[in-house]
Amino acid sequence: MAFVETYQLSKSFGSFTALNKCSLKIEQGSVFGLLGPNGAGKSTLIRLLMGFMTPSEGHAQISGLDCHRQSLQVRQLTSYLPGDARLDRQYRGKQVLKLFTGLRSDGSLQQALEMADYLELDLRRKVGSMSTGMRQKLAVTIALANQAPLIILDEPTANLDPTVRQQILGLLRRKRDEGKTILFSSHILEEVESISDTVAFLKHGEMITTADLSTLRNNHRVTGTISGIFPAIPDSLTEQIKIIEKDDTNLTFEITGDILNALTWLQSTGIDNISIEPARLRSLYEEIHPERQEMEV
Amino acid sequence: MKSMLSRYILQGRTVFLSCALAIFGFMLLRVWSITLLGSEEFREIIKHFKDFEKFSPVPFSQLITYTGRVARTFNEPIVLFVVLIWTISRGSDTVAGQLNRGTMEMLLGNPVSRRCVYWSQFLVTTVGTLALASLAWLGMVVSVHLNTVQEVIKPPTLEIPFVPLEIPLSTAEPTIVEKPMSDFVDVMDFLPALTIIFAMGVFVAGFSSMISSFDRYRWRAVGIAVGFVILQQTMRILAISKPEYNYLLNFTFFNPFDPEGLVNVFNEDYEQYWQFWQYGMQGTIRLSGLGCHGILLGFGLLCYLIGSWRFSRRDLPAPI
Repeated sequence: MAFVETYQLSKSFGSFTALNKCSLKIEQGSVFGLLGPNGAGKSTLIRLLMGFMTPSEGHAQISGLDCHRQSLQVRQLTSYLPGDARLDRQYRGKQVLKLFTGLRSDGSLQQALEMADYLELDLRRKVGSMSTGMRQKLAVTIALANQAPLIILDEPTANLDPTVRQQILGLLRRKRDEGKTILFSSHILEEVESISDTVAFLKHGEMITTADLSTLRNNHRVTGTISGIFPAIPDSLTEQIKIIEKDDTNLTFEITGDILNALTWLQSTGIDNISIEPARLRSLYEEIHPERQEMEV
Repeated sequence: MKSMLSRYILQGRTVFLSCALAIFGFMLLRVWSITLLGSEEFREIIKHFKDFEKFSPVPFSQLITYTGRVARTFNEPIVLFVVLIWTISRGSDTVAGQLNRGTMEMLLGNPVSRRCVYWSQFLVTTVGTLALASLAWLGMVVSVHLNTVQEVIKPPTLEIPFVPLEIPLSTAEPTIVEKPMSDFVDVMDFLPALTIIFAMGVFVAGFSSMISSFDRYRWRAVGIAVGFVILQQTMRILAISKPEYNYLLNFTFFNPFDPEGLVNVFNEDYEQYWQFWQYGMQGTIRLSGLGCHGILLGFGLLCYLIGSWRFSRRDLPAPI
């Protein structure tokens, strides 16, 4: 049985459907990335998993527990970072850590202090006088300073500079290596790609596709220029080659699986300025959201 | 639970300390101000306001005693105002405040039940209300023991029966003696004032918490609670001003909130105080000590329960 499972999970607010019949499975010990633009339903899905809302339809389970009806037990198994993590402004950093680690039986102030030290947080400052990035680091520290087997993070690296992003990804890798299951959403394709085992794409509240990143990493994207007529793709390669973009001079296509046969064919095509690179999550994202190619990388 | 309690104590600390200082200081000064005017002088003044006796919760005859005048201090607008500030500010914060600030989601991301969040706030608010009511009483106690009053002792006179005439038995001038106020006032007589302020606080806090459980904006919860208090006070004024609106007294919490009246019943008829209601001279029924406290505490707890029920079932909106 999957550690996290949703079946036909839906949430509507009046006539607006924020999440529509979303079904997914996350295996224990894996890292699952949720991708999608703003309003795609990522946070709604996460908040339904946390039991903050009643599903309009379907159900969600974590470790066999119903996320809505057994929310308290579910939250004992989960550590959570909201998309917009806000903390009481009048407290000092250390007070906040003490308070939140005290709320959990598996919370560890010592671990939180070590993590804060790693993230170079000044815990003597009041939350109200911290920068947005510092507050986010403090919230991440709270979310990770426990032994919960499932970690759910809604855009954990938002508002952070690249150095801190890397530090936080480092912390997540450490958690992954400890065998924790991680579900996180992000806008940043590269960071999802660097850490996830599986990704899911959401669009307008619907789960469009899920992809296994180990498979995706076997694919390659080829770009080049053509001066004459582009030769037909041989029958033996039609399964493997997929044209992404083509105009009078430029060509982009993707090769799935073993690249050797395709390379032999490529030599005979007369394509110039060939560039071959591993297919990235971006190519999949652009297929799903062609209108959002300007998205942050 | 312990972490939640310390969180709410920390959050409410500043408001509580300000309210505590205000209510204690006010009672010290207000009771002291009673000593500035002797009972005889006060009797002369109050004679001119006989037409307004209906607005007084107790007869003027009781009001001119030191006990009556001290009891009046518990019904001063400032005392009410301080208790309302504390109860509405904490009550409105229970759910709407934390949703409004966006801190609720971070809190409930942990294994903390909604009931725990709600009832921890209840506990802190209720203990704070009891502390404020006790500080009002303590301020009175300190002031009564610190202050003295001047009493005019007239020379002995002979009263002629059936004739409104007093014949002085001496030509000596009246003498003024200074006595401790505690000689005239037993501070334990005012315990009903303490408990009814507490009961009123529980009711207002319960009402504010209930509104807060239905809303996501604290300013709106505060606005509704303040509007409710103003409406209730207006109903009381209307009810005692015009006999045809007298029935409105049944619908305002300012009717059972009657510190002076309860102090009076407590001292005059202790047995009656422990009844739910009492019969007036024209056969009218009035709430007695148990009734006033029971209604305020009962409705306050009912509001709390409705709020808890609503909060445990509602969707948590995302932070704004």
